[in-house]
Amino acid sequence: MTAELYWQGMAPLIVFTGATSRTTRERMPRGEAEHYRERAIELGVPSDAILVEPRARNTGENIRFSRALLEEHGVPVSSVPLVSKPYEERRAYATARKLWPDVEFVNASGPMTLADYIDSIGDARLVVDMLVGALQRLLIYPAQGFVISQEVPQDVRDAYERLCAQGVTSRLVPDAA
Amino acid sequence: MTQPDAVMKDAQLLWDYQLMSHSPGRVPSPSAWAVTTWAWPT
Repeated sequence: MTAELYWQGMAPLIVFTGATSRTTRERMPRGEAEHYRERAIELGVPSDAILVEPRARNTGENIRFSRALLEEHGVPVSSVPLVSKPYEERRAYATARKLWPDVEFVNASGPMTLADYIDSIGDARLVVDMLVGALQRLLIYPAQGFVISQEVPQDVRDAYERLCAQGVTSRLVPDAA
Repeated sequence: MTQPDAVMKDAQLLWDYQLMSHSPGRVPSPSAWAVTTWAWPT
């Protein structure tokens, strides 16, 4: 997706950001950012159009460390296509707006349905757990100063509460559960 | 592991809300531009 946006001329420079998480540690042992860089180069993106930020371990660090890296390289930034996993678009956006308010962000992710995404992960329960965990963070992180506040429709809140009540809680922030 | 239909229906609501770029008209947002019909903000 990121390489595709590069070839469409949406961004002159790519920053891949991220160490590993528990879901990517085995598949990407050299770190998410490095694996993405290697893949982009395989797809023909020139290496001098790529910066790698290999330390971030959460969305806030993705933004802060990437911003610092771009500043370090003297790159002026006014707008950013923000590429993430589909269900993390809203949190990525909310985090970026909070931590880098003078830049315009537009979300992007590989166009896929929930069913497609479950097929790609191979574990429906894990995906539902991750969806619930991601929504919880959107609900609690504004008060902690991690993200901007966004309206969450009541039907979405109700769905979240029902899933929590059914024990879909493995990816919740423990202290706030 | 297959999940009950009710769980998947609720999961779909969460997916649609958290997917900003190509969700079908939910929760208007300044960043809600579809990738496939990309419109750079002016």
